[in-house]
Amino acid sequence: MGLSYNVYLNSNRIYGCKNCKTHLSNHEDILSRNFRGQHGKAYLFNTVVNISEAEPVERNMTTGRHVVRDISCRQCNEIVGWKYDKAYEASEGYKEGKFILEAELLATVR
Amino acid sequence: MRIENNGLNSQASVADSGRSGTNGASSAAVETNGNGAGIRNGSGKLEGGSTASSFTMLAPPTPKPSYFGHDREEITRILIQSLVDLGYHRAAGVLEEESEYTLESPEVSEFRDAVLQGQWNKAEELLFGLEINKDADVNALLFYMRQQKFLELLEVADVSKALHVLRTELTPLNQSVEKLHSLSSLMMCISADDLKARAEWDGAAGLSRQQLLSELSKSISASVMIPEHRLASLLHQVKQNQLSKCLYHNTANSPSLYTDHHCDRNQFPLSTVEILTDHKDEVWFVQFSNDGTRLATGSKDYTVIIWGLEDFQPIHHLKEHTGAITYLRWSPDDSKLLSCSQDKQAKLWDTTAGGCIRTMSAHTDWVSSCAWAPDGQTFVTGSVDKEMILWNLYGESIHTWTGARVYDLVVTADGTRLAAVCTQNKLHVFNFVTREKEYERDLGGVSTCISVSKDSRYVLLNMGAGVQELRLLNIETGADVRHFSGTKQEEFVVRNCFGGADENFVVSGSEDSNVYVWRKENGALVEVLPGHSGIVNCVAWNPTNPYMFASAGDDRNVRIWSKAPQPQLKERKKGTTNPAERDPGCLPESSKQSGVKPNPLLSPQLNQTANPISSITHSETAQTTTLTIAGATPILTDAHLGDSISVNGTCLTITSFTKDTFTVDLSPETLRRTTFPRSLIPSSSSPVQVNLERAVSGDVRFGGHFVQGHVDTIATIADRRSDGSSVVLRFKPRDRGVMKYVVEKGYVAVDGASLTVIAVGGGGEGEDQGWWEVMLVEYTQEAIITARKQVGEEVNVEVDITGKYIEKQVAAYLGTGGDAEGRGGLLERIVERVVERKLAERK
Repeated sequence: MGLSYNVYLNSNRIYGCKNCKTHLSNHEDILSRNFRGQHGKAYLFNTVVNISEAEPVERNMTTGRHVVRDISCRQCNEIVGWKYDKAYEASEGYKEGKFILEAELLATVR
Repeated sequence: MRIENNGLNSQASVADSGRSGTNGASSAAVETNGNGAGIRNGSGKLEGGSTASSFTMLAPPTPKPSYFGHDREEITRILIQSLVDLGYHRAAGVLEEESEYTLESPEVSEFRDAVLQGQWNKAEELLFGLEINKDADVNALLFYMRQQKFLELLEVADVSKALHVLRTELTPLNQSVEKLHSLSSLMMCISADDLKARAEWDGAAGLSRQQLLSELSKSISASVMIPEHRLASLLHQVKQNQLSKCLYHNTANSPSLYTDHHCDRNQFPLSTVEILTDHKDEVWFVQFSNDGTRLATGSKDYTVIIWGLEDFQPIHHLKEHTGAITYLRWSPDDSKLLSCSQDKQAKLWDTTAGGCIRTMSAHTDWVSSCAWAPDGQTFVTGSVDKEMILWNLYGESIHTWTGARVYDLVVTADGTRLAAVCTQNKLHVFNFVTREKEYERDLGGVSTCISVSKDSRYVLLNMGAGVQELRLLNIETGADVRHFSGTKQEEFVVRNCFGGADENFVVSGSEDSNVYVWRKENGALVEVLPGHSGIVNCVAWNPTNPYMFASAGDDRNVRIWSKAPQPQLKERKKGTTNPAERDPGCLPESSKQSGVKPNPLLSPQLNQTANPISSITHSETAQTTTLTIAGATPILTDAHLGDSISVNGTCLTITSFTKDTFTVDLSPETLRRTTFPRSLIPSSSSPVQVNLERAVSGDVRFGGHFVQGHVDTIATIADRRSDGSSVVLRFKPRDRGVMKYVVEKGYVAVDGASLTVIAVGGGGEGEDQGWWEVMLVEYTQEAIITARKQVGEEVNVEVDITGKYIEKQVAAYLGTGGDAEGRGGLLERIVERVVERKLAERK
């Protein structure tokens, strides 16, 4: 609905959608590199732009039960990772509201 | 301009004092008086007739009344000045005599003369005798006067005197040193012409003395020396005031002074006169050609359509882009069209032939905007890839400006500036000729659109999320001039334009589906125009027609707005023109049911319009028949493609529509089940009319029963009789099977109208098909076409769906239906069990 432009980020290292190069997040926004997704290595990011979120589902992950929602690039609709809505275990609470982007599905833009 | 009649005093003009009854204005207009004192005594000629002069010779003058609340002296002196300005010197003189007011006191006149004749010393003396404004810089005035003296001396090559003036008169005034230096350098001039050129001064004989006088008079108290052309400036202010109050002012003509200016609301484009529906997805851009004869629209469906405005039909469909169209621009001579697209390309099209001349592919991201240079030889494209590229007509890149991710850009009509808004919320202004940056300014919010005014002085920005208003900026300074608010703009690109005669208005789209119009001069909101459903993305005003503008929306429509059309009986064209030829069974068009509510496919009462079918076409290949129905304006006001309309009780889907007609397709099943094939053979002499009804909306009173619009069968009118003013119709269905769903006092939908069954009969074994009767009261007879049908004609019948569901359930339980899992149904099993039990008991 309507014409809207993608958000453009402004740092030296920007990660974008591998498919269409839409900016997703800055290198500085990485919180942790110690994650694994379905396609291998994944990073936890503080903020991510130009994504659309799917419905939340409960999933069992290696670290416990979480409520997550898949996120996809708003331009080409390819899934790029997921967002943590809720973590059932207290120790995992730091992930809530943060995003995982899978390294396999990212490209470095600039 | 020296005016005589100084020194008039009241004693001498005693005769005039008798004129207390008249007002000054009308006596001043009496020009039959010549000059001269004798006339004063002849005041009997004047209106109001005074008494003989001898009587009133010694009486004190009575105070003259004010001119409708304004000071008589002021008015008269201003009038005298205006007469002088207009060149009516004699009249001015007479007015001075009669009114005994002088335009200027003798001192002022002398001062004026002194300046104009170059008598500088005298002028200086007199200057101090005059009332000078408190905040006037006397030294500056003196400097100006003495400068004139100096220059005139140089002109006649009297260098020594000039030097004397410079030293003794100019220097002590402590004005700017540079001025003194430049004046002294003028002494080096060889000839008078050289002097004039260097000093930008046109000599004693030219206008310089007048100009000096003007300058000096500005500093002299206004009541002593009335500012020049005072009446003209007062009238100008009045006009400005009237114009600013006129909300709908849409002409470039200067208003007449005879009447208070007021533009009528009816002269303003407020109604949608056309809806262009050809695009298959959201329309994001619309622009009129510069000559106002064509319209270009660009859409998310990757195509551009060029329309002719005579008939609002498409001329060309430009389909070569592989991404949504974001922007369009006609070339200044309208021979070419530029389109920008999300496929990262810009294309140049020939608007006459409709072909693509050139494709510009240098950008690496969406091309967001473009603009032509006023000579039409070069154009600029802007993109969010941080580049703005200047191209020539061969598709060669001439220059690139790098740095900002541009959302929108414009080139001023005079070709001096290029202005752009970027993702970082800044406005960038470049000099288009030298290509250098003039300045950039932080806007404090994101701007999605920039437009430039015809006079190249102002730009209009749409501000989005957080700010949500339009801003008018001065392009030279970048400063805000005015704000216009009311729109909603959070996430999407919404565009604006200047419009109206002389660009009196500012128009914008909005995310709340309305078009907003403001007065440019004062920011007053003129109109909020609903009509679109979904975001209004772009608006454009016809440059040659102040009464037409267009808007493009997410609802895939482009609306053309103009003055409300005269109420012509356009519907008459589609049906008979001669009432006598009409089949008496058809309703005359003027008696359509009024007050049609957006009602039911869930048909409560009778809210139908009886409309003529204007054509019916059958397509063998597609195996569908298409029906066109005319005169349906009342129900089409909020129609969309795919909406359902009940046509004679048949739920059909709108496949296309205009303001007053629409088409539907009839599938083979529809043709089998309904009356359409037989009853619908329209001819020009007897237009066939149908009941039409919209689907029910959620907020109406529900006074009928659920009608789905799925016709079950056809019934024939077997009998028709009157009962008082009501009419009773007896129907016999084609399929006897429906009789079991028709009960007395139940509902049946006949041709889409929900009617109560008053009697049921027949349908038993060995009998006929069965029948039922309905009664139509007078009101109903008028509202639906069924009432006019005669015995033997057919109707569409839909029975109450509830009956069918109940029947199926019962059949399942009883085992007579097909759903009983093959075991013979519940009843059978119950009987089995009872029988078994009984038999077991017996044993």
